[in-house]
Amino acid sequence: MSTPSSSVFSYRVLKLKSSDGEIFEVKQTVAVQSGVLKQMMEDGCTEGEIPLNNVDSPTLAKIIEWCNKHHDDDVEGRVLSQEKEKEKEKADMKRWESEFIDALNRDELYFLLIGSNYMNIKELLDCAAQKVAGMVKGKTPEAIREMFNIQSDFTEEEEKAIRKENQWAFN
Amino acid sequence: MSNPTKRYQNLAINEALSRIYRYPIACKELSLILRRVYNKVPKNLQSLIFQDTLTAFRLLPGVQTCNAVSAAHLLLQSAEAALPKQKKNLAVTEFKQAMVAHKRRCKARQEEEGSVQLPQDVLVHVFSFLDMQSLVSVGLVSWSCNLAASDSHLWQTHYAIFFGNSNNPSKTKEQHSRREIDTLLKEDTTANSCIDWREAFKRAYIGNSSKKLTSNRGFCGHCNAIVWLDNLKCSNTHCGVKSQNQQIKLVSLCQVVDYILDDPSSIASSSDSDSESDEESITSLWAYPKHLQ
Repeated sequence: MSTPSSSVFSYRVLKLKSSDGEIFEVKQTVAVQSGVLKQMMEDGCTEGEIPLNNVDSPTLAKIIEWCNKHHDDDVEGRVLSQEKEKEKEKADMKRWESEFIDALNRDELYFLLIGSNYMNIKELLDCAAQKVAGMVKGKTPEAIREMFNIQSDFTEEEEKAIRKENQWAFN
Repeated sequence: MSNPTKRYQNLAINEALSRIYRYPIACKELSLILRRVYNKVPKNLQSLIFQDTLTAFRLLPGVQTCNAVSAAHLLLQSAEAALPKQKKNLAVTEFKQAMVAHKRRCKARQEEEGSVQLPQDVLVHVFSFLDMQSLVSVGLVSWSCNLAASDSHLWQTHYAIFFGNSNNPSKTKEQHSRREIDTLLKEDTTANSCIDWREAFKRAYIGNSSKKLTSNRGFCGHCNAIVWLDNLKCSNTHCGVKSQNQQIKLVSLCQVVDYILDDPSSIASSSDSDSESDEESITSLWAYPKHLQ
């Protein structure tokens, strides 16, 4: 562990503090994938612990796993010279991504969405959002409520009115 | 040229059944095929259609929507009408088993607990990956979903997909819709007035009044076959990159069924002026959605 110093650039590692107080150390080169952390690095305010109040430790661990994987891929990507190998690498990454997302349960997925949105990690946010969208696609409102355990807060008349208004899309 | 069996396989109904959002349409296609085509095709194709019908029932428990259940009921009716006795019995048994499993799953779902609220901006982002009808559906889930699903930018995108790069051959009509979009965009940026893109989309959509927009089926010039559409684009991967340039023609349910009996090349080359005159008839192969005039 490095001792604090005044220069931002001497920090090779960022200390991220999750909402439940756990500290995660992340390489700067990995952390740049987060728009928020990148901005902080540019502004030179990454000394000490960086509190992430919206992200709990299991979610932060998942996010860092994602970022590490994608960081590694970048390094390997530079070494690869053959087009074919690059394509294979891409396909492998796609497979890894879908396995990563599919392994999450609904709440984990939600927290990951909130966390990646908060930390501004676009690729992860897109990947998780696509997964949720896939679960919603083609379902009736009742089925969606059931799946995500959402209580309807419409009154009976409101729901009727909206349902009637929506008819145009299904005729 | 290809035979009916080949063309049936090209429709990829079997594959579509395994996707929740295509299941109801695939079911409807199957039931119309059973009623209209089944008795006119060779034995090997008959058995293919029968197998797909059984598959449809078998997959029903995994598809937790009312839409799917009613489509499956429709399929059962068609199966009872079209299939010979022995096969009919098999299909009915399969359907009954599926319904039992379906109900059991519904119960299990209700017992699950716990939920997290997603913030609005995340909801809007998730909804940006939805197709138009799902976007409308999700607006009925709750107020916060309704607010997110009415997001004007989402509807602006859908407007561009549906009416922006219109495949309408008539130039004046295309220019008309382009101009409409341009003026709307201009207003959006200059006058800073808040355009309700959902409302704009709704008006244009109703104006088109064509069922073809909802069938999710189209004829792809690149594949030379009827394909599944994803937001009005060919969903086959080889078309993915240049899909903007792909000539996608929307087709109705009847046209999908007729496709099995007819030669696809005749479909592709049939002129648009013909179809406009006999749009009502079942044999009409191509008809373009009529634009608002």
